[in-house]
Amino acid sequence: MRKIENVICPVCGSLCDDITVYVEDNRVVEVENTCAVGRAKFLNYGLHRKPKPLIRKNGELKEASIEEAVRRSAEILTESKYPILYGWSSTSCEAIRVGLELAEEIGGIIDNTSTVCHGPSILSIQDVGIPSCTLGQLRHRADLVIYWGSDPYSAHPRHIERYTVFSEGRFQKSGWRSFIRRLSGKLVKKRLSRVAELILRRKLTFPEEKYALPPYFISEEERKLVVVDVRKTRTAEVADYFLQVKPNTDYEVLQALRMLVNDQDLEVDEVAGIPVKTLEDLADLMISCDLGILFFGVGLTMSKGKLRNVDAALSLVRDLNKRTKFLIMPMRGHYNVTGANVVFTWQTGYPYAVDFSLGYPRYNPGETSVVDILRRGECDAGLVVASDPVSNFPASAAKTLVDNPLIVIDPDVTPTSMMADVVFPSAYIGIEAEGTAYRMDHVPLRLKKVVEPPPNCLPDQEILARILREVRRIRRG
Amino acid sequence: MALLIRNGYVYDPMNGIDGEKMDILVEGGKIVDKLKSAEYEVIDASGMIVMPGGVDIHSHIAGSEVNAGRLLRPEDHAKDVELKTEITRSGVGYSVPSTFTTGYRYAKMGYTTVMNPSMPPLEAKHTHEELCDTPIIDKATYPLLGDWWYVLEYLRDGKIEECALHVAWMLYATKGYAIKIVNPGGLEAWGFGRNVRDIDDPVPYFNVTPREIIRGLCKVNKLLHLPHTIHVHTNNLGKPGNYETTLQTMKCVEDLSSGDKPCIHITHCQFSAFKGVDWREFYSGAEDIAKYVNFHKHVTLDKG
Repeated sequence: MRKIENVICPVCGSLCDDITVYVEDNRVVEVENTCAVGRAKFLNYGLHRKPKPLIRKNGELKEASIEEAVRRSAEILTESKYPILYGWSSTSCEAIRVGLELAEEIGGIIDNTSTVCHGPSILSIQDVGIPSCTLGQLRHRADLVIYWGSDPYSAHPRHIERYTVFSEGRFQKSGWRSFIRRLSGKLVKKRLSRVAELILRRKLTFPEEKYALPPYFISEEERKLVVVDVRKTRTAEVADYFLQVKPNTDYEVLQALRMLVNDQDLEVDEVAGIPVKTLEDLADLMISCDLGILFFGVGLTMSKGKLRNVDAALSLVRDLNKRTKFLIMPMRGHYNVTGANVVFTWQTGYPYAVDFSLGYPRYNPGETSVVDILRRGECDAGLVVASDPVSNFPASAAKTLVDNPLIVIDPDVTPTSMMADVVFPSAYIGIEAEGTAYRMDHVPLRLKKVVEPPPNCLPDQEILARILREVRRIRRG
Repeated sequence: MALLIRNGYVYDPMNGIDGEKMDILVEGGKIVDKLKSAEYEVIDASGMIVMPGGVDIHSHIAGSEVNAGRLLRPEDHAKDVELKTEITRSGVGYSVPSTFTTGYRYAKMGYTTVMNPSMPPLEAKHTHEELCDTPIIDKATYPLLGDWWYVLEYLRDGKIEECALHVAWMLYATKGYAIKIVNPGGLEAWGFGRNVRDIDDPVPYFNVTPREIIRGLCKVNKLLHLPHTIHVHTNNLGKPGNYETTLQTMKCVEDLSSGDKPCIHITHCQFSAFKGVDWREFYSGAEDIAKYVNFHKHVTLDKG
């Protein structure tokens, strides 16, 4: 059994880099330090993988050689006038670089999955700007951590433990002590009330204190975790304070906080159902911290208001920086969605939704973003890399995608790959192939190869490079 | 392949050639008097300038901070585009050009070498990835080491040799070229939204002053025999009255130079040469800086 240390987990934007993997007979048999999601990926990857590339013939997907599949893909792409190249968030930066070159060569549209998650955040960042940092800075310095519209406990399970409240930093202690104290407090309260109930022989009810910040005595020197969400998430359960907002009212709450931070009076008693007193307490907490961080998730970007919500959040942080040091960071989902934005930006100047049809990069989300193009039925072929738009896009967009010739490069069998015309089962980046990925804070990390891929599964980068070579051969003779 | 560049106006300051019309002969990668081989390529440079390739020792062309700026300028990109050709990649330009366009445009301007002057060590891979996509020109990059915790701790404890070993490893690990110091101590203080006032203001929690950082890394640089001196962006950059900080920064390593060899480089000095107490009474302190530099051989600077 081979033990490989410091492996990077290719699942979410946290890119935990302390994973230990045990390999036997070219198979991962055990992992250490991962969360449940990472563990499931390392131990169960490739269970449903096809052994060879597939090409659709007479309506059925038939096995084919890599060469045939490459040739067919190149034909589809060269015959197309306006192809879309989509996905890119769960593959390596090296593959993305080749993808961009391919998109430029064939004059297509290239877009990554941020178009349906943090695309609005990027639009707001382009409007307002963003005070950013690396996660290490937060681990060592942040004494107030706010998760707004994101549930790291479920989506980025080790985020809190590695980078924020439960991590032990140079200048900030871990907050787990106060968490344990609170937990035992709750337990004692529960037991006492049970005893009281037994003595009084009746059921006791306590009014739930919904909107009141706990007194700050919790522990002055320990960091605090605040969660703002529409429902009590698992992250909210470990938080020092949870503020429940009504769905689609984030914008109002953020703007109200901005007014309070700027010393303006709110001439109402409540905003979106939340008492102003509660918001004042939260504003006080924000102003009085040494270094605060606001993490926001898809709860902000994909609820009513979209980019305007993020605009308000960024502006709130800008206002807070007049009073203290405050930072803000989007919680990126796929392990390399940040990398997709980064590589797109350095090669084309734009982070997503890039149109090469005029021979130079053009960017106008809404016009050049993939979902909009598909819904308008403008494209005539598609290449999807490491993504499953058929499951996630609006039905009308997915319909256009599968009605046109479609090439899919994906290690997994997905609804998209099942409806494709050419399918390449590729190697898993970070397990069967090396590659660079960017953590959500834009720190690049080199993913490792821990096992050999099956013989007909090449890395995405290699498949794309072969398609590009074939396309050039057809186009240029 | 030998090369004959014919009839150009040659500029070569090092050899005192100032716009003379002459031929340049190249063989075996060197400029020669006479060509040995009979076969050579001829470039007709009539009416053109022939000069050594330009070297830009300080231009932010790659890395996370550059890409962050690039992301923020979509409207600039839209009005300055480069079409793809058979041999070149497309791109966008203006305020922060895309990587390919950066390489092509530098080459068009006659540059052959560009130094990317700041690379946060954690972002080294990002910087190099962008440099890989910057074609034609030669590139290198300077890792930011003035506020690296290990460096601060070694210098606080006066461990110059240990610090040198660590810096050597950092240069190896980040594939860096020279030691870059930006606002010494100030970057660390900025982690808490603070700054250092002058070169003797200690860094919060580290008990080391900017003066100690500059002197320490200057000694490290000497120990390692690096090709470039420490590359310093001074404290108080962009603040009226900062010419004094700049003078102090240059003075603080005066005793560390050996012979005529420079031991400190002050970069983008135009932003570190302000006189006056505030923006209303602000005026240039360039004269004082120029006087100092003219009488001291241990300093080099660029205006930026």
